Amino acid sequence: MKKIVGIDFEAMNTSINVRVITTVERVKMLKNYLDFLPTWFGEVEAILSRFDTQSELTRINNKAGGTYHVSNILAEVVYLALDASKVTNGIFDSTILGKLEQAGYDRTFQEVIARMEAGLPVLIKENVPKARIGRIAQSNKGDKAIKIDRHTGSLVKLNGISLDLGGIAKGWAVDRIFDQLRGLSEQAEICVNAGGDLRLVNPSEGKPWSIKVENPLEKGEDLLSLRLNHGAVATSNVLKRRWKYEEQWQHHLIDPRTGYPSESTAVAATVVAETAVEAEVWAKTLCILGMEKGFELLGRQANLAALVLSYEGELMINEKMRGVIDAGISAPAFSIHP
Amino acid sequence: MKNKSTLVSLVFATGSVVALVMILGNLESPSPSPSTTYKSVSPAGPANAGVAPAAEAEVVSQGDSYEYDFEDDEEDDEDDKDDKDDKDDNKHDNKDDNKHNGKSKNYGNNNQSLPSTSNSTTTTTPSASDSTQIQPNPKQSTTQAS
Repeated sequence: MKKIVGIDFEAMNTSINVRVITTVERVKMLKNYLDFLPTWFGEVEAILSRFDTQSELTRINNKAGGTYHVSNILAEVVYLALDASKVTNGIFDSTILGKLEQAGYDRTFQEVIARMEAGLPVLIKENVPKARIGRIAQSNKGDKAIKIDRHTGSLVKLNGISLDLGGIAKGWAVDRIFDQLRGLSEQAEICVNAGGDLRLVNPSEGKPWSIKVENPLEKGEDLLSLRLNHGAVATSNVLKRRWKYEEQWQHHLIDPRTGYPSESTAVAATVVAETAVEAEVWAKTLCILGMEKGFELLGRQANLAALVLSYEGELMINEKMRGVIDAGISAPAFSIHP
Repeated sequence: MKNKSTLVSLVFATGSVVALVMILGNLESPSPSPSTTYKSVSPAGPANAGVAPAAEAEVVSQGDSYEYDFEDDEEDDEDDKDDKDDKDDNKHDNKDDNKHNGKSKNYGNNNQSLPSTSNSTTTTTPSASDSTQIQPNPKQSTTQAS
């Protein structure tokens, strides 16, 4: 007889859902661990949230250029963000916080929407200049604007550089919890899901996990299902977090090449990778770059399965994704990127 | 054949009633597990000094862990024909999983001890939950932008 132990709660402005299928003997230990997670997420938010004015990240963001000693957690996540910037040719860029705030995402998304619905002006921060009309180039590339030594916690930043670690922090948290759970119960089936960024394993390679991919163009509908025995999945889209600014829709995926919300052909992208961080990074990168350029860049990453959905509902996948899609459940027509 | 179908339907209906009674029983007399700090293994390693994190972290919604029995449908269904009927029904139910139709057969033979994960997510855990995260099939999850 096996048991399912799990926990569901809200953190990082999203839903956290952890599920473990394990033996009876390990239930108590795993439940103790799971019960600690909400507290742990709170502690992580106190370090990494840009919406918390007292968080370590906010305090670093508000500091002038210089060298600072930061916590292990902040150092680790900044390191992952900078590494992601390198492998995506700078498309995944955590230093675009200023541009994101200029576009109107300068507080929690719930507050942004409430402000929009109340008809209040988007930009309230006095120190944020009004977003300019037209396209400008990002003046600072992430790898030059900030450096981190994750072993010593030494962070060097240029003046005016501020970080948004939202997406990658979520992926990092999923990976961290997943690794800990694997350590506690190596033979357990595990699924850790933080707002759609998830990582799972089925050590017996028996009945795989079924992962539904939400269709952003049809509310409440699924695009397709994936079948996985191990790995991570993340989805990014431009419709989930969007708001109006000066009568134009804005969204949270800033294209670092322009400094504005991306205007690619992609409305959503889903990536299957080894880790949640990797999946999150590439899902966002594909959304920003769009189908053709996205898959072109992704082509070097042989271990990644990916799909990109266009505004018109066109679905393109790579060869590796074809082996992951659940053929037993109807899926929309798709093309395969050569 | 017809008699057998009727019998199977009766068994399922009885099982559903038993499951419903158990769920309602749980609702009326919740036994929340105390939240325990697990000290020997923590997701967090020790944080460096330097810019210290805020002393009090805000947790938006505190959930408690839950547990219930699990049996893999595929293993159970190999032995006898009645269980094969079960498996067929499960296939049908799986198609409707994301519609939250309240059918509990996906859980195998132990559905009477399960918290409800279908129509009311509030019975799954004491915490508020995003319904898209809780699927009737325990080995099912959803990826979406957040």
